[in-house]
Amino acid sequence: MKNKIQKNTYVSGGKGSFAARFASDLKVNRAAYIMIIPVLLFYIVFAYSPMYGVIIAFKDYDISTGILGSPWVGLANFKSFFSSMYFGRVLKNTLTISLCSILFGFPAPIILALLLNEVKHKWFLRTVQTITYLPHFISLVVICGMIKNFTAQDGIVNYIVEFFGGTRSTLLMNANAFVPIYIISDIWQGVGWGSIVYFAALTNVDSELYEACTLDGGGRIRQVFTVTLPGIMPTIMIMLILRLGSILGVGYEKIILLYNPTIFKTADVISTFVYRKGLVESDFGYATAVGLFNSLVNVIFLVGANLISRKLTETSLW
Amino acid sequence: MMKKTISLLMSVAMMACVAGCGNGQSVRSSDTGSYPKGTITYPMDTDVKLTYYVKMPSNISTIVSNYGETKFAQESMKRTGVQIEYIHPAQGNETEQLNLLIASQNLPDIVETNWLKRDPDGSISKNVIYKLNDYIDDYAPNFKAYLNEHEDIAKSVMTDAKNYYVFPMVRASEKLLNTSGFFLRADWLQEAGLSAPETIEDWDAVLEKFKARPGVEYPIAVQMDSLKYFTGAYHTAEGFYVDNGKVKYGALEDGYKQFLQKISEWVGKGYIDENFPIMDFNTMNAKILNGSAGVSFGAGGGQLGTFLKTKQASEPTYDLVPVPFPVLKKGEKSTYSSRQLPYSPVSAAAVTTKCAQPEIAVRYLDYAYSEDGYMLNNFGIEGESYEMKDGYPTFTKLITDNPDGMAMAQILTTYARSTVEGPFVQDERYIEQYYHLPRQKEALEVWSQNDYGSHAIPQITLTKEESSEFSGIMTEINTYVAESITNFMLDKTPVSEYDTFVKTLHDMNIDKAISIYQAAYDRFLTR
Repeated sequence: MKNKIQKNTYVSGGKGSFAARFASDLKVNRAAYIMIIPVLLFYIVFAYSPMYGVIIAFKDYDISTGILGSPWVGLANFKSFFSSMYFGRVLKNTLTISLCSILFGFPAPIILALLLNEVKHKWFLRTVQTITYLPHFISLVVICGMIKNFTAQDGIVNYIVEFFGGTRSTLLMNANAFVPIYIISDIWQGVGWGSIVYFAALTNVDSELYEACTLDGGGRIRQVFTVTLPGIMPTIMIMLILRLGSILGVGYEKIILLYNPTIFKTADVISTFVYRKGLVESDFGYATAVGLFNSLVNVIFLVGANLISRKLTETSLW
Repeated sequence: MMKKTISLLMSVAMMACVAGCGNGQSVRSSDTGSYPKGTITYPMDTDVKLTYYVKMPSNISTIVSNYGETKFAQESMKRTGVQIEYIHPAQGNETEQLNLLIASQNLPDIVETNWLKRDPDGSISKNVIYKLNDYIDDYAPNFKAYLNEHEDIAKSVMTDAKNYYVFPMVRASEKLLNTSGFFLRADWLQEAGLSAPETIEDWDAVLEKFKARPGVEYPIAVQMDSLKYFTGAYHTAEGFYVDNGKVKYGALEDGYKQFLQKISEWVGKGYIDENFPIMDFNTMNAKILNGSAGVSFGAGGGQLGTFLKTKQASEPTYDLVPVPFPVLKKGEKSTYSSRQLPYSPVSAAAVTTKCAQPEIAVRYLDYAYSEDGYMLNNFGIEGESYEMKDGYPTFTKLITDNPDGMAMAQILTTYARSTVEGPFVQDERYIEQYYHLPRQKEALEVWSQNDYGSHAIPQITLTKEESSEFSGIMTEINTYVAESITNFMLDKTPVSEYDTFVKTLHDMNIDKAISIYQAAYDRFLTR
């Protein structure tokens, strides 16, 4: 650990201009600056420079005239989205699916991690972890094929429905069943993978705290609420803030693979609507406009959640 | 090593050509600055090498890696004297890759794609492709002669501004246009003492019998889109169509309501598998093969023919009979069917402005419309893939009964273009031999008995403004209609609410969309 990056002490008093401080720091930590160049280049080339393409949201984009050559149309693309008769419905569906998956999907990996934390048998722990990770590695197309089979009229779910006295039906043609199917399958696929980060956080909770709690007469349940949960709370908050940052980002792949006109009522979300209009009909300007709107809402939620979290729990991204 | 060097040289040559082979690259005629016009004899004396962008036919992608390796490509290069370098997009990414080539101004000399979808007039005015009118006059005598003889085709392949933009594929016979339809279990019909159904009433009787058979869950196993062919019985059609020069939209017509009523009645009686909105292709085929359904819809080759061949080997009594598109009264003809339009725009060849010698490219493409080129494109090489027997080009054993066990479509694709879309005139004698089972030949006859030809909207073109207004209206309407009619069919919405549905369509501005189509159709007629 000899080559630790040096804290620049020459001008630590805040004296000197930024340029002067930067120049002296450059001397001290030249290697570190060189190492960061590829990372910076990556972001400039692949993340920032393509961003100028966002201007086609305000243009009537045409491939043969290019991004810069296409005529400006102002907010026309946005207007046509907001005035669409389906705007309300797709926004509502998107928020419903997103909020439900935060409400039910977000706590699931935390609960799994807490449960596994109480397990004392190593082999049992490993087995459960492996089994719950596995679905994460299955391709989405395969997952959706499985969901279709499971929920078909002669699928496994319908055996259960029938056993409890219900009648068989193709669940993917029932508008009310779509959100539960979507959320439950999401949890099933992601719960093991999602619990990894919490599991890692759990190992960092000071074991003396548990002893202290035991001495004070706290039982197992008591320990979870007074030691474990507060211990991993910063991790939970960070994950929640990040999750809120993609509130309108309900992925279209899974929905397109699962939906059909009978359940548009609950299954048609912003991204699938835009897919049909923007990509199938090659209206790229429109698709970009909606994408920009999505990002804007997401950023507002991200910043808002971060702000609230900083005020309430003193945990925040920045 | 040798191969590598050659391909390297080839790609260098190609790049040189793309970069601009206008600087008099040893084409004899270009030395004088002009090319010979009118009829010429092939092969041409030229060493121009053209790049040619075309989708690789999927059924031979396992045999050859480049279309240039096929007998067909080699023979046409030999006969025309033009060297072609084929460039293939990755399968499934054709649109994106072509968009990229256009945006990066890096187009090959000839591009085969659906140019009709890409605003032909706009593509010409933005200098993406050449306007072909003058070139056709001067350098495409065969194609020009064809257009002069077939005025209706000529109308379809030009734009409203009377611009020619591609060398098209033309299906020159009703048999080539009607290659899919309904088919039923013939052995079941015979057992029930019924004949193949024609009217809706016949269908009712047949479906009742089929439903009563043991082992049958739902007699009709079809996907949502195929159910719409029943609209033809009620004197209407799906989507936009023409009736006596007037553009109409199917769902607004009274007949459409009756059609929905009938379908929801059939769903209620258990005649139609109610999972039709999510029925996938393989499930559907499995049902008709394993006998849990007795009616299906599909192509004469891939489905009807394949089912009969695979099934009859193990179960000789299994038989499928193709039936005409249903009608209300005997003797009528259905107003809707899966009939395609004679000019198929899917894979038509345009010459891009990156091509420095469009004259040569036009000459090359024109060859397909000459007598020799016509035979080559349809039947391949005489003496190898076909022989003339009593004036009928008959495929040889190599094609019909391939010694290496290749399927007919597969081996034929390496010799000719008749199995895939491309710029040439298709001959019905190809499909007469390709559909070699008696039931398939019967299918071509009965599926052709419909009147959609006089109701289908031809290849109209919308202006840019019309097109963006039209798609703005129709994206929402398509969503609404798809959702509503599925619910009507499944009786989740009672058909009595149909009037509300029609009213909503009017509120969603369907009339504006109809008038846009009407205007475009009127322009088409005056081309």
